Amino acid sequence: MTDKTGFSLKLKSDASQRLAVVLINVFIFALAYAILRAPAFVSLAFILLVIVGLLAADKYRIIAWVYDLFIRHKKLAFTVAFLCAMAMPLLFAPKSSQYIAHIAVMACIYSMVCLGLNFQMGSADMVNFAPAAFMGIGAYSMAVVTVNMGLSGWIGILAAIFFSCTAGLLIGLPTLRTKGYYLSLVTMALQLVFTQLIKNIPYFGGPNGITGVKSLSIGDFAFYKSYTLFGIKLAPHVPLFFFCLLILIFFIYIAMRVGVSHYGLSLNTIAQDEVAANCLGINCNRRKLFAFIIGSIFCGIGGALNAGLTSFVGPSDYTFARSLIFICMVILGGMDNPIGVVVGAFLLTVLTEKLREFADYAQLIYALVLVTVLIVRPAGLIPKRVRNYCALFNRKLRQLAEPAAPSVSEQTFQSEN
Amino acid sequence: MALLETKDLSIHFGGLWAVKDVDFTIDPKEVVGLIGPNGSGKTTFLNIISGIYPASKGTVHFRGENITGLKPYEIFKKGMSRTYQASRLCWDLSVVDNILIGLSTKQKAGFLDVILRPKKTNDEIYQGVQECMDMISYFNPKLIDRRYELTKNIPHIDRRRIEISRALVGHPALLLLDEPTAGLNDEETMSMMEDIRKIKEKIQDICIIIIEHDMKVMESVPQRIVVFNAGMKIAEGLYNEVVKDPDVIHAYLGGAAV
Ligand SMILES: Nc1ncnc2c1ncn2[C@@H]1O[C@H](COP(=O)(O)OP(=O)(O)OP(=O)(O)O)[C@@H](O)[C@H]1O
Ligand SMILES: [Mg+2]
Repeated sequence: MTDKTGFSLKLKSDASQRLAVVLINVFIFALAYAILRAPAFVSLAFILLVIVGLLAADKYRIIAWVYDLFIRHKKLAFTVAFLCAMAMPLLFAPKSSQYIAHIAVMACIYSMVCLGLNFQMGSADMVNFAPAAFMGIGAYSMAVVTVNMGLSGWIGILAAIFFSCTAGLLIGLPTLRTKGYYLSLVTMALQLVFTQLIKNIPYFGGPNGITGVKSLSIGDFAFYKSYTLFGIKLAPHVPLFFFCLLILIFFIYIAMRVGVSHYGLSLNTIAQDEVAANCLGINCNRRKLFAFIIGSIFCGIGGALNAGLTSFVGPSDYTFARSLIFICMVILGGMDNPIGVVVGAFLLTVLTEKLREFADYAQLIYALVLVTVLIVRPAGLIPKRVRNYCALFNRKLRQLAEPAAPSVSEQTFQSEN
Repeated sequence: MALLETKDLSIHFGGLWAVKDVDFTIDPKEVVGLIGPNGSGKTTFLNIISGIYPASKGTVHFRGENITGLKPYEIFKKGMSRTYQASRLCWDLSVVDNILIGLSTKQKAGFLDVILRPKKTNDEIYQGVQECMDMISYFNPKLIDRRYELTKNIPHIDRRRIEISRALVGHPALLLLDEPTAGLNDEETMSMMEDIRKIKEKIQDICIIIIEHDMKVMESVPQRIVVFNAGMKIAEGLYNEVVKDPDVIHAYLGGAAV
């Protein structure tokens, strides 16, 4: 119900709203930077702080308020976020912070995979237990093309897209005959089959995998190579980091746009009531297949980039356990909310990597965090939002220079459930 | 030419013929009421013509086309939409979104349009949202202010209105209403009756098949009544004639009334 309790800071003037957008953006990225940079336990403390903060923020409707502000100033918010994101690789540029750069690139790649999984799990409620397999298909395509065939990494990416897309289609088709738990079981089986297959085919290197995977390069400019700039030796990840960030931003953009469109809406409808969706003219199988294919392409590209990052692919990287981690990331961050999914992927990636030396405790903390968040808020840290069409209306009204009719009073702050 | 015509339409579940040899026609602009005791196959009949159940026997023709065996989404695109006895809204979607689903077949934006959002796609969404809000405000203007609320927080009668709006935004030729007043009190039933009449005022060409147990509604809303019993059509005609039919009295009112 619309109780207007909670946070409501009314920023009257346009300038103050814009300033708030900039400051909030900078704050978010500074926090991400701090989490990446800080030593293990400080970083852990930051992560817990962020989690508690997000839980509290949603309770007092601060997240809704920020969303509203950002939607209102979409262009500005996007530009500032883009600039901040692009500044990130520079902060990790020196060779000394190589490991942190590595974690950051990994977080990007895992975010891509989680965004792909989110189409199936978040939007359409089809819990796919095989994102790691799709990622593996991308990674192995990259490895086979660059190592076994000796071709360029770009062809590897194309192969990754092609094969993950085909796999999504082939796996999606039979899976559509099942629903709910049965669908999950089928994907689970597929994940196990994938790992076994890879292990037992000598062409794919068997249990040893394939080493020496080339990363991408444009001409002589390799994406994974240490360069020296102004006398400072850079971490080899820097170009790849830029590239991954660009792709991630592109993926977030696609995920958000698909989410608010009639594609996303019909996926949500299918998730909640398939019969009703069918009777409203939605071709359910086609839409589900769409979710499967676009999701597996995201995973495949993530996998190809991952192979380029570690220059190695092996069956142990794309196991069922890895799939479970992706599922946890999506659930923690917030199903059906691209931003939430990326936040979840980022936090959990950093958490596992930072606590690598304390691997035993890492698992414990990991589980503890997840269980606590799910008990406190099952919808995740940044729960999915109600689609808001106000931006469209604002623009329209400006264009037509029309006074706001009562039926389109979209400009007031909306309280969202 | 009849808008919808069924011949020998039958379906059985195991040994039970839930609908048996039903010949039914509805003419353009007509409003037909479907009555019958519980379990007489009214809902099942709607489920067959809207494609949810495949007919065991018989044919359905809609707008001169044979639609027997088509999938529900194909039948919807031909201009038939419906509501349900127990409402089937998406509780986790907002009011606008729930209605907007009814337009998803009308939205032509492809994948690239959705990503790039050219002006025509923006216009399409804008138009769609506007149509949805017009539709819901036609039934209850107060819902405009609650358009971003989740439907699970909306009162029962308004949920019914949302469901009807969702079925109507796509401008169907035939609307199937399955017990729109189920679970409403007397006062709400009256306003729902009013709403159904308003549908006819807004879209004059529309045909409606309405299932209802409430006799007040049946007396005043439909032009013609069809009576079902044990899966078969046992009578049809004007309300006043039908209620005097001895078969109907026997089957439907159990012989106790009169
Ligand atoms: N999917 C199904 N499987 C088996 N039997 C079914 C199924 N659907 C309906 N039936 C049976 O078909 C008969 C007709 O049911 P239907 O729901 O059409 O009745 P109705 O006239 O709508 O009754 P009510 O007024 O209670 O809504 C009932 O005996 C019911 O048990
Ligand atoms: Mg019924």
